Amino acid sequence: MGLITNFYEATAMILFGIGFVTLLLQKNLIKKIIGLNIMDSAIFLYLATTGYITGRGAPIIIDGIVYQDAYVNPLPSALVMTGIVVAVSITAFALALSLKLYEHYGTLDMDKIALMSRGGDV
Amino acid sequence: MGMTFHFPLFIIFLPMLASVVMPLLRNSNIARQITIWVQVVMIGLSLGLTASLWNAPVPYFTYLMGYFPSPFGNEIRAGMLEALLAVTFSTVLLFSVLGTGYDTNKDIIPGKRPLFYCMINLLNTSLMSLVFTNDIFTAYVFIEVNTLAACAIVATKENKDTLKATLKYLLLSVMGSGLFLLSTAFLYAITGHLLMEPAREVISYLVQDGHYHFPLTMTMLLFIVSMAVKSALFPFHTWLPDAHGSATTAASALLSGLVLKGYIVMLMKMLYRVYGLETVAALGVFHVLFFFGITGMIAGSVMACFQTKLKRLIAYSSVAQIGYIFVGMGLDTQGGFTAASYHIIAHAFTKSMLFIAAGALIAASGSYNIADMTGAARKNKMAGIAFTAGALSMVGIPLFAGFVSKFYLAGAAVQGQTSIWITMPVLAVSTFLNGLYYFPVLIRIYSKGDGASASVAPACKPAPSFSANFTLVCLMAANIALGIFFTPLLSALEKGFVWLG
Repeated sequence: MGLITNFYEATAMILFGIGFVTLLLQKNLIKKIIGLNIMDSAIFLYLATTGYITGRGAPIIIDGIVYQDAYVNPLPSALVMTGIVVAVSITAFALALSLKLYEHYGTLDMDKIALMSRGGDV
Repeated sequence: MGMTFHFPLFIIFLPMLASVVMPLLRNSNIARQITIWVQVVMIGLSLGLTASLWNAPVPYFTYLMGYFPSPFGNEIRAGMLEALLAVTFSTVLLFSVLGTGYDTNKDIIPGKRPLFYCMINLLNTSLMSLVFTNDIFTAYVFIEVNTLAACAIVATKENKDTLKATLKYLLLSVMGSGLFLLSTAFLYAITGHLLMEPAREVISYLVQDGHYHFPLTMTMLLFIVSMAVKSALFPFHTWLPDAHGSATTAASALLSGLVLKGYIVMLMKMLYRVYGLETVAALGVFHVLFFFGITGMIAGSVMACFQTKLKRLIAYSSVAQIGYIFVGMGLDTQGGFTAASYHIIAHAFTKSMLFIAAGALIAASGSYNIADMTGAARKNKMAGIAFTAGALSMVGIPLFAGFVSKFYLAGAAVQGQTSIWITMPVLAVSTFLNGLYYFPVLIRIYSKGDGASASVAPACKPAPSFSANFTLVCLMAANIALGIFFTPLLSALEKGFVWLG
């Protein structure tokens, strides 16, 4: 019952799990970064769902302020916006770093990188 | 109050402004000068804030950003604890930049140096925001800024090892931030607030009514895990030795001394101001903190014993010291929190000094390995003395800062009845282990060595600069001052915690 009425939240949590496991267990750096993005998107879905109230409109003033009950909660959308900005910058940094790693090691496999750097001196 | 009312705002925005200016500069020397002078101003501002709160009848105030009232606006809260942490953080940051000019110039190519100082200023902004903010989502944003800046200053010394260390650090940190954002979303869904005080009112009401016990516990555990990953509590520490051990000296000193502490301060604020200590105790979360802290104290020290490289040894010692702080928080007493916050300050001053001295010793001996450092302290006398002082403080010899925090940790453990039988033996064992890995290094760097190794001494031995020596003297003075005149500081911290709740 709970899962059907709250299927957005349930989906978000399943997606979060998928992203989290991908981030932790995949060897390939690009797949890890994709996992990170799935994880963040799942949280954004969850946040957006918290603010949405069925049957109400976006809180944009067109014909003057109607009344409070006509609008959804705008705050979670603002949080999602901020979160997206943060996620984009983290992804960009991680991708730039992967590029540098590929230049130095010639591979994107974390296990191989760990093996290769063990021999090197700091 | 008057002028000092606006100081927290300036403390946050001044380094932000400086970080915006940095990428425009071509000359790395000017960037360094600006960073240093910004720090000096910051120390002045935070000292002014501390002085104005010292004798105030109500030693805290809330500052509304843009004067928007509570449900819409963003709030800053400044109290005794926050002001003292701001003083500590800005002082340690100043000395970490000032004392490591040689290594920074050696490790980072000239074109990138202004960007390095840009990242240091960003780090400063985010640390100050974490200390002062009263809003959970603002904290999330600055946690991310802090993570990016910290990763960037590790990566600026570009070689195989730092890049790998940065990526490991970034991936684990990002996992931690994901958990933090998730728990923030849950908390917002449960309480409908992101500001700390209104959220706590709702939570205490919910706990009294017996609703939402399970979601609240889970949310709190998510917060703790996310902050534990970022502050390298024992089972989540794997990124720390790589990142702190391979970065340039300034970055190592900053990361070990300050960045880890920013997250712990945030966790303290979450426990105190969002959940309230009674709720945390009722949900049994203190035992989790205590258990992981105790494990970290022993495990960090044991792993440090097996290190052959000096910087990695100091990095593992940080893992153990983070354990001390979590034990202090897990004792579930006011005294425990005071001891933990005193250890934050003591460790910030000591660990940054150890890393700066280690950088100088590495430069003097020309090797990262402890085995090659025979007589390094004879080549750079000041670094040797500072390393000795830092090691003694970490072991917990009286008259040094580390002793006071250990002493008060033990005192706080006596107040909590059940934890004393675990805390005391573990403190003793951990002190013994600290001695076990610091004293061989001391003996090594002061021993004369045989003639063969002395003859192959590196030719590129740099003369220690005035600013490096000045930094080490100042940090040693701070360390000894913290070890002798601790009473007013401890009572001020205690006052800070009383009013924090």
